[in-house]
Amino acid sequence: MIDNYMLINQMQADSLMGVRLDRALSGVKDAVMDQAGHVNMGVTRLIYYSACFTDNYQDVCAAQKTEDVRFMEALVQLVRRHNVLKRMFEIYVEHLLRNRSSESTRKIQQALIKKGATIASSSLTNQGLSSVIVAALGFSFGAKIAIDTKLARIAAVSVTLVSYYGYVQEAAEAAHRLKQLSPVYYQALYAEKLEMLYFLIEPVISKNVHLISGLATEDDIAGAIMQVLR
Amino acid sequence: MSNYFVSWLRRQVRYFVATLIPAALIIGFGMLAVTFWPSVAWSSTAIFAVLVAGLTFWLV
Repeated sequence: MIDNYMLINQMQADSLMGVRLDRALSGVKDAVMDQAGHVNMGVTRLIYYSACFTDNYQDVCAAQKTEDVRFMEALVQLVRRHNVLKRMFEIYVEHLLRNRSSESTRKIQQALIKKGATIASSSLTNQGLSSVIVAALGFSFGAKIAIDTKLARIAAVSVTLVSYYGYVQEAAEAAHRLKQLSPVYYQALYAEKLEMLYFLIEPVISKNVHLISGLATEDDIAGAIMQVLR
Repeated sequence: MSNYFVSWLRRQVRYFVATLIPAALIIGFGMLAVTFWPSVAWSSTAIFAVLVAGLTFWLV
């Protein structure tokens, strides 16, 4: 005889499985949308190169080439220095705390303690690195088209290579946004050839990066630093 | 089942080889170019990328 307890258990199990299936499907959808976005950006960037064949848009062509070269230079820095993400966060915090009196710095320190900060810069780097690894894995496993004709294989390889190029476009767009939001921080990163890697840390600091240029209160600065530490 | 798995695995390996190796070669060449011959870095990398892509499409 089936009692109420068993019925309730089964209904809960069904509900749980439904929720898990829903999450799995939405994850697949997100991955596909992300991949499509990168393909779109890669194609867009390649199309922009058509500007090189016109007389009026040579500036667009030159800007594209410069961005590509700067991206490569940023990758060289990534290989040479190992800790570029930490350095980018360092520059950010340095600029946030620049021109602050000792009294103001003490207030920021107090605000940070009040917010329960544990100073863990290494975890920041790890978080940044993990996001890079996750992104790399995402685009590596994102577009496997299991078909066997030569044309299909060429199409699959082309789409994947174009989606890789989409990351350059993403980096260039993020650098443009930073230039608008905080020219000072952009220049500091540019001097160290790191501005094209800003897209890696943009999700963490984009909300507060404008505080570098303006007159922010101690509480705002503490909030911005907490945002990075979380 | 075993044949299906082997052919699936072969497809995956071929896909990875056909995408990751060219990408790594182009990025590696580009990084060397911006370091050692910066004045012609973009054009030389672009030519190299076209050659690598062509070779990949021919071999794949």
